[in-house]
Order: sequence, then structure tokens, then C-alpha cells
Amino acid sequence: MIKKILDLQRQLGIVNAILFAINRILTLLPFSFKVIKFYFAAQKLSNQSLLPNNRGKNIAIIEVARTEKHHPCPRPIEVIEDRYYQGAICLVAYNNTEFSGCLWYIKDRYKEDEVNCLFELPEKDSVWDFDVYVEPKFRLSPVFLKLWDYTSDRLLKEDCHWSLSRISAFNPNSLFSHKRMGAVIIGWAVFICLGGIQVTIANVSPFFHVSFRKASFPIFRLKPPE
Amino acid sequence: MSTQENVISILVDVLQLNSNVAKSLAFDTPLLGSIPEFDSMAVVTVLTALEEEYGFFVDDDEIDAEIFETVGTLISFVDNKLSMS
Repeated sequence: MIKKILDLQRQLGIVNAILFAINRILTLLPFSFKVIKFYFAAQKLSNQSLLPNNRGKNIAIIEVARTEKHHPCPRPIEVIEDRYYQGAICLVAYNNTEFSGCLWYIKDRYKEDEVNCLFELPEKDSVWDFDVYVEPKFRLSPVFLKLWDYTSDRLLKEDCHWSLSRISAFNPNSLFSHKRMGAVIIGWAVFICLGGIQVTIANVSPFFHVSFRKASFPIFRLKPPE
Repeated sequence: MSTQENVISILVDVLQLNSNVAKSLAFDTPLLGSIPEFDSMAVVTVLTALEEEYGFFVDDDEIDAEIFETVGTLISFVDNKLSMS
């Protein structure tokens, strides 16, 4: 854990390293207490393929309908049902016939499931992408790039030009990957959760929020950069 | 330039490593898990650069985490491809 903290301090700065350490210590306590920090990122979609033409030929991307009996996304069925209920779309990658990854996106708004908050997208040319998952054995393969190229192409045809998402501040790999693809950080929020109480501090509206019940949560209205 | 120097030079260029990290790259330097810039996009870009440099072709099915464990395993992979071509 100390190595991870030192690595985070080097990669992401002292504040994120301290928050990570606090969160790790809190999870050891016998009651539900956690600290989470998200960066909000905006990725401009491009019709320029990330994947060279000669790669990813065995990978097919399909949209999986909510009626699919055995959904390939490795999440609890109630989580998947809630995503479809909210209006999300799930795109799934198959390497030949083997499930290799998936990506979710949604228009207008998304109710987050890791902390209690709502993301709203007032701009019609933006979507919210979340839970981009690649099976461990395909993490270095072109699966992610093929999935992203397909999604970008599809969204651009629907006149969407930006994909917004949240990235854990404790995940330097994800942050670097987003930055390499040209993502712009448009804000951050820290969530301090103790049982049913949640304190939110952010550098974007609503900046500060305290909730004592599930029905009360901060709403982040996020827009792509000007 | 030796294969080692060439491969390191490609890694530094593709991953845009800062000069301190670049200087520290040696045969036994770990890549996966220790260099955060090393993701699937980096893998594709490194392989494309190696293909252009050496004229061999790497199939998607050949891409394996073991190749990118260290600088040395990547050099061995390149040497192996060169010996087959």
C-alpha cells in the first residue's frame, strides 16, 4: 500500500495520494466509510480511427438489447436493468465469438451507482460514457480501440461530438489513457460517504452538497469545453 | 544501432517518456504495471512502429502481456520475429 501511495504521489500529486490513503484506511474500519474522488473528462469524438486498418479484423461490435437473456456485461442483473431503465446503450465487443469487452453510454442524464449523484448533459451534442470494460486477457489487444472507434463513428452519425465521463483520481492508468486520447479534464468532485450521509465537494456546480438520504443528491450539469 | 537501443528509442518516442524515465530504461526495466502510459493504445503504436522499423508483421493473436513485461522481453520478441523473417 505504501508503494501504491508513493506511486500515486509521483503520478497524480500529493492531494490525490492522501485521499487514496485515507480511503484505504477507512475501508479497514468496521463501518461503511469511504472517500472517492472523480475527475470529469470530456473527450472530443473523431472519425479518425485510433486503430490501424490492419488490426482488429476479428473483433465485432454489436449493440446488446435489454431483452438479451444472458447479458454479457459482468455486472449484477439489477445494475444492468437499471442502466437500461435509464435509457443507456450497451455496445459489446466479441473477439471471433468470445466476449471481450463492453461500453455503455447514455444521453441527457445518468444516475451514478458508485456514489449518490446525477450527471446531466444539457448540450445535445454530448453523451455520457461509463463502465468501459475489457476482459483481462484482452487488455493489451485492440479490443478497446475497436470499441471506441465504433462508438465514435456511431455517435458522430447521431450528431454527437463529445463523450463525457468520470475517472477515478486513484486510477493513474485510466487518467493517462484518457489524456493520451486527447480528453480534457473539466472538473473534479470529492465524495465523503459515511453510511447514508454523503458530503460532496467539487470545483464545479453545485460545489458543495450534503445529503442525509438517498433521495437527496448533487446534480452536476456538465458541458464540453468551449 | 542495436536492437536494444532501437527498441528503447521507439518506446521513448511513442510513450513520450520524460528524460529521467528514458535514461533509466534498461534490459530488465519493467514495462507493464510500472509505466502508466503503457496501455492498449501504446501497444498498438509500439507494434506499428516496430513493424515499420523492421518490416515484419505482428498478428493480433500474437499480442500477449508476456511480450511487454520488460524492455528485455520486448527486445527478445523483436529478435525472435527477425530470426523468423
